[in-house]
Amino acid sequence: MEGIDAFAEAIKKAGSDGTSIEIRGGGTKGFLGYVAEGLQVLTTECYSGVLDYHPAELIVRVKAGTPVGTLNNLLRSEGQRLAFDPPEHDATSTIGGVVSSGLSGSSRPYRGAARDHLLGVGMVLHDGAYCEFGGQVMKNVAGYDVSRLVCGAYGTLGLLADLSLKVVPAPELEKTIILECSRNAAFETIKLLSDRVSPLSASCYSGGILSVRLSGTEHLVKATEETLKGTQGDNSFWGQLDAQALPDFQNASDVWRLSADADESLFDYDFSVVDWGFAQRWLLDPKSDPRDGYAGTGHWTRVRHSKDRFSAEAFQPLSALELALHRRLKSTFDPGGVFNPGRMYREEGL
Amino acid sequence: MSINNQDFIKRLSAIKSDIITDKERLAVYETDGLTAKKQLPGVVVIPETIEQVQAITALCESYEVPLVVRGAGTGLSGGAMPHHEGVLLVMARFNQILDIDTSMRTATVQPGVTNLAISDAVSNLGFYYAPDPSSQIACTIGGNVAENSGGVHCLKYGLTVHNVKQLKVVLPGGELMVVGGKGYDSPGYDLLALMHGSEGMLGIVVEVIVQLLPKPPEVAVIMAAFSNVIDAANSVSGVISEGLLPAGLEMMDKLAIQAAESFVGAGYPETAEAMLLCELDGAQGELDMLIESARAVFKSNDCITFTVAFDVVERQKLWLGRKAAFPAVGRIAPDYYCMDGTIPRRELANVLQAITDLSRKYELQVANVFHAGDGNLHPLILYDANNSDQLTRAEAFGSEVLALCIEKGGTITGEHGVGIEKINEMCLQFNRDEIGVFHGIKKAFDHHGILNPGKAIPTLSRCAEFGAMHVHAGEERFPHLDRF
Repeated sequence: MEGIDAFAEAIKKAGSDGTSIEIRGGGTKGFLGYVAEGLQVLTTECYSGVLDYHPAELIVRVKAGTPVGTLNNLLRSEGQRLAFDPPEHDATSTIGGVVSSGLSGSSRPYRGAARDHLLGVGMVLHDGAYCEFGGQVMKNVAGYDVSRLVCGAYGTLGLLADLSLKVVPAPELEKTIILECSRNAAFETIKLLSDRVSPLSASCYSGGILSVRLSGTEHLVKATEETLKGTQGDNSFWGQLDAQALPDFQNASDVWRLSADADESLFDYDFSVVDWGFAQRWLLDPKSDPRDGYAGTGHWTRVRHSKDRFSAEAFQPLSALELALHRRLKSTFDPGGVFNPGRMYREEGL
Repeated sequence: MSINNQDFIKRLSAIKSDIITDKERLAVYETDGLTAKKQLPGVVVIPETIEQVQAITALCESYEVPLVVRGAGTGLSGGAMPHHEGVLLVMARFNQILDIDTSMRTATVQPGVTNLAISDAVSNLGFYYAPDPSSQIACTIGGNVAENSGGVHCLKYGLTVHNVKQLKVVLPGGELMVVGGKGYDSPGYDLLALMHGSEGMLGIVVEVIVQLLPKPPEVAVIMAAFSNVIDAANSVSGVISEGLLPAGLEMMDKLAIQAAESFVGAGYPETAEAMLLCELDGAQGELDMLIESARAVFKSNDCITFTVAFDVVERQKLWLGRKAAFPAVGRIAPDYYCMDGTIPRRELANVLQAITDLSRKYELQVANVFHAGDGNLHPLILYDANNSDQLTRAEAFGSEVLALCIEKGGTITGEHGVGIEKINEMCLQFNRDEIGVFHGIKKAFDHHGILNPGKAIPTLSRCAEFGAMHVHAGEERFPHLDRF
């Protein structure tokens, strides 16, 4: 028995045994959230490959265990790409893992999130049933949007097996431009590019350097490049940024992420890296939990941490109202607590 | 609990929203855009503040009185059809734009603000709100969220769910919850996405923050005519294969062209069998190349005319015919039944041919006008509601079209929602387990089932009944469908 049937059997068995399972793709994102020890691991790694791909439909349907790199290569061969930038932590990172974790990469403010390009899913439920939600068409409003609900749910609602993703034509030209400038000048440059139709597809400010990526027609990319008056950068920078593989990140033992209104003041914290047009901020090796005393409207995630340094939840705690709703959703999808218990909220078993 | 409970009415009146209970005035609200389905509401309440909405909702829950929310009532699937023993909550007075953030290009609006009013309010800043359902002059943003509305521009710019950052939602218990935020994500499950297209079943939207986009400096609308529908359909796939991503790519067949032309005089080619409207947009200097690529595709598919409009007045005139296509068709037949199935683009030509065949089978005319780029079909089945046989045939015709859409890997509704109209066809698209998940989600939000009961998600027993109807010539048409 293999594939969906094997998943269903393992899930049903865990349910009847009263045990839980850890769903794992390539196992490259264990640092996010909390992974309970000693659980039976159900891996989607062997469940890999393309189910359906018609380039003219702008849709690809893949098995969850397909490596991100394999999918990217296939799309590239047809002159297409995923519209969002799935982080590739290493060659074993799977597309199912990226979508389950809701990770979107550096083009998020400009081309949308993983969930924005997720058109449908096939998933195995707690009772072993295989269900399909969404579909393989661009527009579909039949039933609740379960596909987007499971995107970013860290496998706590079911086993994500098959995914339909929207793809887009690859840009004619993509260039990375580097500018040395102050933080205020960087903010203004990004705002200027965002306020008009521009090829801006990524932005990052770190150590007095603003990096921007321009993607689009050759005409527009070159015209925009001329107005910026910067120097040529390397497009591989963005993949490293998205995988947290830049030296700053690699040397840090604690990595915190603040996702906030890009307009929110930056000055209360010493952010090492700021991307997503200033809406995503990275704090490396803080002395204490940065959530203490934070007065903004954004939310923090403890992305990596030295063991036992911070005992609090990795993700921003939910309000009592939100928590109650999350618990009810979790118990609807997973009444026996089989799937990834505590992965998002350890204390709550969510 | 009945709406006629005197204690309930007394306490509802004490909330000090406007209340309508007399039959003449209730009749105004008996239907939404799906006029074939009518139902007098038990009572209509027109609140002005979020606190009133909270109080009304909590009261309904404690008495287990059904609560149906209505924006402008332009929905085409009967999602806002009232409940005869329930409260109809009319959000018309939530019509203020609360804030425009020019720095982050967002607008904070009340749910009763019309879709077009948002774009109008920010036009002088060079911004607009992208999703543009054809009813945008009247439909409200709250209704757009409930239906996850699309429009002609969603091929490139996405649906409502892609353009909303934050919602304030009143839950069935009366609690106020904020989902999403001004950043690009939120902790926990993606409730912001889940609320979109939930058809008033999970919560009541009382405030919306939308993302605004910069207006493209250069826009062109191409009108291409074809001597047969197949060439037009193949051009649609051709354009996408070429790597072009038009802002809109719409198709109309002969009957729709003629109806629109005689209604608004948009300058459409009345003798053509099909036409495409293709909007291309971009930054300064980008457009010529895009237009040439499109021209090559259309020519290779034997288009008989190819014209390009740059001027804003000319472009609006071309779009006017398309946006007025539904009412235009309404002028040539006493009634029409608007379908909303979506299919993979590669099936366009096949499905259009099948619809033509069905038109002969049911002896009812059909006009096709649709979002070709998205594969989202809107066949308009013409009938006369006063002729009960025609109504029955129209519904059977529609149901067969939707079954065909599912068979081709598509969906029964691309943008109009399930509402009451397509509730039976939900049983064709989803199996017992999937519908079970939907009921579970509903219950997680709305334990007593007070919000919009009977809409969007069919009961399993309803599916069993409907399934029994779909036996044809001794064969089950959908053998994979559960029978129970």
